[in-house]
Amino acid sequence: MIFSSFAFIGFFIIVLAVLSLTNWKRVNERIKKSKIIKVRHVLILVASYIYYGWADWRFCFLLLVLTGTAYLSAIKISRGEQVKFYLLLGVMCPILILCFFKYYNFFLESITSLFNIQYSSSLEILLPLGISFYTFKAISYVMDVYRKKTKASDSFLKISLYISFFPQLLAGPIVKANDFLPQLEEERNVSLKNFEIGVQIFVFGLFKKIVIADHLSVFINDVYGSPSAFHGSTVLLAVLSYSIQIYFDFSGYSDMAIGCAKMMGYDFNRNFNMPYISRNVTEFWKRWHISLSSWLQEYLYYSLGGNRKGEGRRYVNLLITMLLGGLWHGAGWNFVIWGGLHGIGLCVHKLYLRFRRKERVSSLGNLVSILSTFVFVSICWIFFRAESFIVAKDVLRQIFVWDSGIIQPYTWSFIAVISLLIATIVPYVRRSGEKDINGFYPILNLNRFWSLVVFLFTIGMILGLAYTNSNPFIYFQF
Amino acid sequence: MSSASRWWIKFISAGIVAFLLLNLFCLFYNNYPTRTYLDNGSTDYKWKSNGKYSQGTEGFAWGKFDSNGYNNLCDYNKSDGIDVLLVGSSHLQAVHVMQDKNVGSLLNEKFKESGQGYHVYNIGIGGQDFLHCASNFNSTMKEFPPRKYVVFEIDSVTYPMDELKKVSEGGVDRMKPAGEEDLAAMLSKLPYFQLVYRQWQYVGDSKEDGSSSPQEIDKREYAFYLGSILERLDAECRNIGCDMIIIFHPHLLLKYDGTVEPLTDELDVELFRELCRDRNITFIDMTKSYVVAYEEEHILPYGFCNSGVGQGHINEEGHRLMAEEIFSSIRDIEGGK
Repeated sequence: MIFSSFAFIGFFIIVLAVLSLTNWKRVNERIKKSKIIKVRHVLILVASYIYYGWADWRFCFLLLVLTGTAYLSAIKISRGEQVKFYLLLGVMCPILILCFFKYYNFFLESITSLFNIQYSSSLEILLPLGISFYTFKAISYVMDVYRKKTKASDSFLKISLYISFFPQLLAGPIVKANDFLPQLEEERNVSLKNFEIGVQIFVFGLFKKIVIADHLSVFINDVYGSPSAFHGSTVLLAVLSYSIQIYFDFSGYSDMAIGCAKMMGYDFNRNFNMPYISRNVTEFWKRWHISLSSWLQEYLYYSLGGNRKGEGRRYVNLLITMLLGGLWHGAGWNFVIWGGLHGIGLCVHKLYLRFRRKERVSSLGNLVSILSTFVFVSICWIFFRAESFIVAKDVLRQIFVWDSGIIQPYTWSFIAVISLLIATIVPYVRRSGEKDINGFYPILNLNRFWSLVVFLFTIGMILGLAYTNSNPFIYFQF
Repeated sequence: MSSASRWWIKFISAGIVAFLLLNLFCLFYNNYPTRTYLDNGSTDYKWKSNGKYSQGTEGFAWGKFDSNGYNNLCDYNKSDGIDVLLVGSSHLQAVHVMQDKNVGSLLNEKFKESGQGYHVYNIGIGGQDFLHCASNFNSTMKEFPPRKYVVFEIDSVTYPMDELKKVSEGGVDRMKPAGEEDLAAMLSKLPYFQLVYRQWQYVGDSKEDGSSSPQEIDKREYAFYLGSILERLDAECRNIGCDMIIIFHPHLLLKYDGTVEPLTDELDVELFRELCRDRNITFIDMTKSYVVAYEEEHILPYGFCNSGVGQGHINEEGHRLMAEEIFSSIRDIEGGK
C-alpha cells in the first residue's frame, strides 16, 4: 500500500475519520484526557499494524519481536540491570534480523564466488518492507537510553507506536526516539489547522513523486536497460535525470510521510534540504536524507571513535561509515562502491579543509563548487542505479567515449530541471540576508480564494499528468 | 452566514476557476473533438468533421480532422476520387505527428513530385486493427473506392482464432462508446475530462497483447480462416479494379547490447507473407527497413521525446520509412505491369 495508491488514500481517510471521532465534544466530556490520548495511540497502532500487514501479515510478528526486544532492553538498561548484555541484545537483535533477511544471500554468494566454492544453498527470503528503517529506529532508541539521551519509556504502547508509526514505517524518515516520544505525551490529534498544512505537504510530495520522478523513470529505465544503444549525450542526460529522479522520488515520499503525520497531529523534521545546492560532499550529507546521515553519524561514526582517535582513524571511520551506509541501501557491491565513493569524497573534502587558505569564496567559486559536487554525486548515483557493475561501467564508458547512438532529448528531464531550478531559486530570493539557504514547504492559506484555486489546480494537474503505470518508491527496496 | 458556509462557497468557486484553468491547459495538451460511432461505416467511428485536436501526452502535435472526420490535410472530394486508400489503426491515424509528416501526406507529396499525381486518402482510426478493417471493408469500398490501391497497415500478423472466425462469419463487434453515448459525448467536450479519462484507462495497464500465436492452435485451421479473409478482401478490391497491399510494421525490442530485434516471430510473418503471395497480394514487411535505419542512423520508428524509447506509436521517422516503402512498392508494381 504505497502512499500514491488509491488504497492508501482510502485507508488514510478512514484513519483520519476514526481519529476525528475522538475530538467530539461529547467524548471529551465523558472520558478523561489521558484516556483519550491512549485511545488515539491504540487506534494509530492498530492502523499501523494493518498498514504493515497489508502486504504480508507475517511481518507483523517480526515488528512485534523487534519492538519487544527494544522495549525490554531499554527498560533493563535504564534500571542498570546487566547493562552490557541488554545493550548487546537491543543492538544485535535488530542487526541480526536485518542481516538475515537482507544480507544472508548476498554474503553467501559473495563468499562462495570469492573462494570459488560450488555451493548452492541460497534461501528464498522475502525481504520485509521497511526493515532497514525500523531496525535503525529500534537501535537508536536503545542506544539513546544507554547514552542517557532519552528516558526509557515504561509504556509498551508508546514504544510500539514509535517503531511502527505507519507514515514513516516503510521508508523513513528515521525519526529519533527523543523527537517522537515526547509528542506522545502531548495531546495531538487531527485538527483543521494540522490538516490544512499536512494535506499541502502531502500533495507537494505526491506531485514530486508521481508527476516528475515517475515520468523520469521511463527514460532512465530505457537508458540503463541498454546503455550502449544511446548516444553519449543521451546517457549523460539520463544520468543527470536520475539524480533528479531519486531526489524527487525520495524527498517526495518523505514529504508525503511528513504530511500524513502532520494531518494526524505529529511533527517530523525535514528529511531533505535542497541537497543539490551543496558546495561539497560534507554539506551534501547534511542536506540529503538527513535522518539517515545523522543516524550514521551518531550511532556508527561516533561509536567507531569519530575524530577523537586521531586524523588517520577519522578517515578510516568515515570510510567504514559510508561503506556500511552504502550496504544499508542494498545488498549489492554496487551500493558498497557508491558508499565507498562518498566516503572517499568526504575524506578528500576533510583533507582539503586542512590545507586550504581561509579566504572568502566568491560567488563564482561557490557556483563551481555546487556544480562539481553535483557532478560528483551524479557519477556516484550511476553505481547506485545500475543493476550491476557491468551496467555502471557501460554507462560511464558511453559518456566518456561519447559514442554515437540514439538521441533522446527527453522532455520530462527538462521539465524536472526547470522544476528543480525554480525550487532552488525561490529559497535564494526569499532568504533575505540569512547566510544559510533552507528549503521550505509552499504552504498556502487555504482561507484565501486564490490559494484555494492554486491548490485545487495542483491536484487537478497531478490527476492529469501523473504517470499511471505502477512505479514503487525507489527507497522501498531498501 | 457562518464562516464555514462562506468557506465552502469560496471552495466551490475556487474549484470552478481551477477547473476552467485545467481545461485551458488541456486545450493545448490533450484535446480531441467528439467521436461519432457508426453502425455501418468504413470505420467503427470517426471524429467530428473539421474538429481540431492537440496531442501532448505522446509526442507533440496538433491539427484538424477533415470534413469526413479523418486525419488528412486535403479533403476527400468524391468527384476527384481517390487513387490510394490507406486503411489502418491509430498508427495510421497519426495524431502523434504533425499532419504534414504523416504517411498519407508524405505519399501525396511523393506522388506529386514524381508526376504521377496520385491522390492518397487516409482513413486510419484508433483501435481499427486488421480484423476491424476487414469487417468494415465492404462499407469502405462503397464509401471510399480507390482507383488504384488499398493499403492495409498492420502491426501484428497474429490474431485470436475466435476473432478470425467472427470476421469470416460476418465481422467483429464494432467499437461502442464506453458509457451512455450522450453523456460520453458531453464529457468528451471538456478537455480535462478527456485527459482524466485517459489516465483512468491507463491505471495499472498491464499492456498485455491480446493476440495469440498460431503455433498454439491448429495451424491449418488458422491459415484457412486468415487466408479466406485475405481472399475476400482481395476479391472486393478486384471488383472495383484496384490492388491490395498490406504493410506490416513490427515492434522492436531494444536489447542490452544495443542491437534491436523484431518482437514478432519470423514464422508468423512467413505464414502471413505466404498467404498473401498465394493470393497475389503485395506484402510489405518493414522489419528490414526498420532494422537498417536503426543500425545505420540510430533511428527507431516508434516513440517520442516524451515517451518510452522505441515504444508506443509510430513517430515521424517511422512514417517517413513507411511512406518510402509504400511508394517504392507501388513503383515496383507499376514498373512490372
